[in-house]
Amino acid sequence: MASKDYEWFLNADLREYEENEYVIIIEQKVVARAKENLKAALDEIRKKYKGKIPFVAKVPSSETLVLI
Amino acid sequence: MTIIFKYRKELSAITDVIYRPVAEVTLVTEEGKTIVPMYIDSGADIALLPRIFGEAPGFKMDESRVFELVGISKGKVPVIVKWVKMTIGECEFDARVAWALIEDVPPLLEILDVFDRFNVEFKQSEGIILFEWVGKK
Repeated sequence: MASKDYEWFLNADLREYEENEYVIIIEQKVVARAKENLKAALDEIRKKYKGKIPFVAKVPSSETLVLI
Repeated sequence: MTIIFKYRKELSAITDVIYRPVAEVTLVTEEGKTIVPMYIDSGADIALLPRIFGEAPGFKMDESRVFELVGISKGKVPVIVKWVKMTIGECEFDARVAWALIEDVPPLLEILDVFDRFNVEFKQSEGIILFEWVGKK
């Protein structure tokens, strides 16, 4: 069964975030955002939300994907 | 066991809106567990993670050989192949992931190691993708 964060992500409007930026989601909320420093942000979130598994998504680009 | 994934409505430069199939994958590394949404791509040989995405669960540059993935446009993506423990639904297994050394690629789920273990059925008219666990081959 997929998680609530997955369901939330599927329907989330992420247009307020930059394309290709990373967002960290815990309990259906974006709790952090990052570009180059995703690892540091994730380390901090793991400490702050002990026992929670962070859901990390890359904000989709509107470019057409031709997948390799 | 069958896991049901869905399509995500996204913007597209050509069609305005596109629905892309997205799986929820948990990567298990020394850093802990990280849940990652990955596009399901039955045309990709190997799972792919962008550079920054790979750094987050603790992938490190080492003496691993650098390969080049070639897309249909013949554009090349340098990657390092890493083994990672992956969970889809309740099913846990080891899988190879191509960690891109560039950022401009999407996270992809693929044929190698994953499609061997699941029968994957796209039901786009119903907005779902079924992953039926068949175990390790």
